[in-house]
Amino acid sequence: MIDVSEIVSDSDFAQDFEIQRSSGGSWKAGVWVNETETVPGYGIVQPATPEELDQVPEGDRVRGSLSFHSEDPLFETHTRGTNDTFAGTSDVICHRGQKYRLVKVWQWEDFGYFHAIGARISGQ
Amino acid sequence: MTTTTFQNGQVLTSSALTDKNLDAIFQLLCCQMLGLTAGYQLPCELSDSSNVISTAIVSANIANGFQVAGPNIPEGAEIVGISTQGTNLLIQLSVTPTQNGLQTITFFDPSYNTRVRTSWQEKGSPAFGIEDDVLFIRCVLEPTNYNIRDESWQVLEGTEGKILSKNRTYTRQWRIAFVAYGPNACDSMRLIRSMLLEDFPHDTLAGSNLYLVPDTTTPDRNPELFESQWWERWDWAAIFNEQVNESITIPKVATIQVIGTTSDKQNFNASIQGE
Repeated sequence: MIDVSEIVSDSDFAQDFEIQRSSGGSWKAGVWVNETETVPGYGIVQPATPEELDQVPEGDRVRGSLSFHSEDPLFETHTRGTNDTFAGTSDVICHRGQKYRLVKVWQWEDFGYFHAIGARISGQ
Repeated sequence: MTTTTFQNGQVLTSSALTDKNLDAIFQLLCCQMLGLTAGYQLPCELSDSSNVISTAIVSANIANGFQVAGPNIPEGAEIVGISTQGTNLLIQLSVTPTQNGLQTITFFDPSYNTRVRTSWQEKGSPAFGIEDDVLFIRCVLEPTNYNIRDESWQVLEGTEGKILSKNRTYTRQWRIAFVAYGPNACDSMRLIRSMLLEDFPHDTLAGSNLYLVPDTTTPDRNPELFESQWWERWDWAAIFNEQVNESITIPKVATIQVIGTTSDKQNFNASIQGE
């Protein structure tokens, strides 16, 4: 298998970003209380969809998503199980002042990278 | 009770519950109805020189690992041992209380945190496995015609008769949906339905002005096909009447100025004093 991690970490394409990652958490009276840590990320950041305008009765809402390719693992919400030692919610990636919650992750780790789609949560 | 102060100084006080209030009430109560120890209280003697608290021997469903909370008990305390001495029940904690004295101490089975969960959590939450028994609660208002309002007036004490309180009482209805997953989902629903007719759930709910409408329906079995497996799921909902008490302050009229003209063209200007 070809390891393409060299491409996703190529400085011609890749850039720094910040990941707010669940470091565990606990259920308190039926409510999940997340604990997070900030970890550095590095990879290719591209628009995944155009910024879309939802014109709803309450106003105009703009949403968008970004695509992330990185050598480092990216996580969606997971429960504690065989592969995960603790439960946690999806990574939130901070990029250019906006926050994106991962909603899709492709685990191409056999080829040396992870691909994820993040939905903007800090939008209007 | 919530209080709203309006721009003209009137104050509205209401007992109306919010969806978050309902979540908290039913999360705890459902755990109790499913047989978990949750919010069980005992008067205990605390000592700041020992991690053992004591109470009179009672029949209590507590065990090692249960969470303990109360005044002067550091956060994260749990039971690490239970024994008896004479007529006393000795409960050894993982921490030492910070002060001496008699306090009401509350005990929780740790599975109380996960067995019953609230819905629509703002930032999402981890899911559960196909073998996990989990009950979700959803609290929404039910459209109803039963909204008769009773009103009464009274003078507020301590205002020298200058402020009245208009009291309003009405009923609104909540639909509490119970969604049970897991291999024992069917039986969880049976328990909830049966226990809602018993005294302690009634009394707990009545403490928040909530009363079950006993004309209930039959639970539905709705297994879900997810990732090539059928996940057991049962749905049921019950309606609860909530008695809402509201009062709004109304300044009493002190004087009214009346300006007018009589039939013989004479102007007049008079003040009428309130009672």
